[in-house]
Amino acid sequence: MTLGRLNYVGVATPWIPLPLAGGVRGGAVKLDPAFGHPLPRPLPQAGGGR
Amino acid sequence: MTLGRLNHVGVATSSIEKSIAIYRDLLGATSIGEPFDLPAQGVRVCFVDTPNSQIELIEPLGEASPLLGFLAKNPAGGQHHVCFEVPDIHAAKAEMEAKGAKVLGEPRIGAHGTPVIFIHPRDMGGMLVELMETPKDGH
Repeated sequence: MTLGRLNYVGVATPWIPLPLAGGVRGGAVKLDPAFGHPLPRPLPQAGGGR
Repeated sequence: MTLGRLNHVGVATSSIEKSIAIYRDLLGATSIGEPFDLPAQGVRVCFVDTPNSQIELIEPLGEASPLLGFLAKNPAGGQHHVCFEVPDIHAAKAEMEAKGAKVLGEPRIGAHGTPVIFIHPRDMGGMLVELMETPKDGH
């Protein structure tokens, strides 16, 4: 094996804007600490009640 | 200013030689520069090339090295900073300050021989960010 391209640098953050996390419009998404990495959790839609 | 090329990722280590062995023997790095001292920044430096970027291994140099505190908190070493290129370091510094980010000190000559500045991690989401002026002779 030879060392390949530096593809990306992972940067931990407590909040990712939803448009970046999953293409969902508006607000922000909190990372899920249970998984230790960003898992987009879309905000409830109007009337979703969460 | 627009975000430029990711020039390198700075990796702190207590032993450049041991880190070279990891990149060479474990990961298969084939292009590794000669380590050299950068007294102005209190570090010894070695660049490991990837096809599109570099890993900058940095080891404390001297008793006042800024890396000593980092290694005290992270004895195994680890990612220390990321470095992006900018076309003009003085313009970048002025823009960072105008936007409220804390620039650590004045521009100084970095490991690539071009001027660099560092932006305080508190304004960069917890990550120390280096901005370096793109070398005039390219890469």
